[in-house]
Amino acid sequence: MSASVEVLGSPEWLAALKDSGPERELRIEELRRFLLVALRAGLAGNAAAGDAFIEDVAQDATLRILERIDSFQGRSRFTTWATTIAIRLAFTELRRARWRDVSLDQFLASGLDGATLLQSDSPETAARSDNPGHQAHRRGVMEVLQRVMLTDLTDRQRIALEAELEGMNQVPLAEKLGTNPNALYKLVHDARKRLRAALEREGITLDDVREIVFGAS
Amino acid sequence: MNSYSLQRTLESILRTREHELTCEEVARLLDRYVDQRLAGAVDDSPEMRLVEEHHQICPECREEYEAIVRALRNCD
Repeated sequence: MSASVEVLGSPEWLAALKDSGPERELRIEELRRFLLVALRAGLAGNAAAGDAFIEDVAQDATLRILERIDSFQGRSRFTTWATTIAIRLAFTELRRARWRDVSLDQFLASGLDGATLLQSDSPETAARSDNPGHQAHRRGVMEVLQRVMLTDLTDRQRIALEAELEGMNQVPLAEKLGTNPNALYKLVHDARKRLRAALEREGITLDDVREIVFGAS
Repeated sequence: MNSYSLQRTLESILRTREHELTCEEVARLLDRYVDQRLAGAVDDSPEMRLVEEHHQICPECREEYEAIVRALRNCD
């Protein structure tokens, strides 16, 4: 019971999937099996995506695809559309599981009070330039950045930005903040734009930032 | 916030565009974008450019995109 990639998504195959009858069940199983193969390949190397997890996601993705089947407009291959849904579902669940038992407060316990400002540079940063002038310039920019993060961002923006930069994924972070991923993205995007504007107001250009990030030329 | 986080903040500021698609907006365009990339012919529409820019900014969406491509190349 397997269908080639060319058959999956053909007009006849889709019609049978949408129809009611015994052939529909066969098409559903073909879809589920395709998603199993796709998920195994897409998530290969991900230690958290074991066989049981992939089986569950393939099943859930199949149901979701069936729910949304009328929204498939043929602007892409059906297998691409279906795989996109399945892979995104898998990552959402993996990321939720990763952060489920992590409290946002504990995660951000280091805070933004500047107490640990520039205590030490990363080895990579130190290696980039041993020019004292460059190091002093970098420290100055970092001090300004830390200050404008307190003056130009809302509390919510600071928390969201820091959590994201520290590695918390968007879906679980949005849930912990009581919002949705779309609103969270816009919140952080606005924060980044505010910081860029604030740095420019303080006389720090994007070229200055580039020099700090990529090292003095 | 420690030095590494401040560094990453600066990196994120460098990547910031005035207009960016959210992850959900990218998701609605992703299947079309993936097919074009796999065919080696991404059209020059503003939408596809914004998807491409988003992948430079958002590591999560980039990770998903790479997994989708991996999956489809295995299945093709």
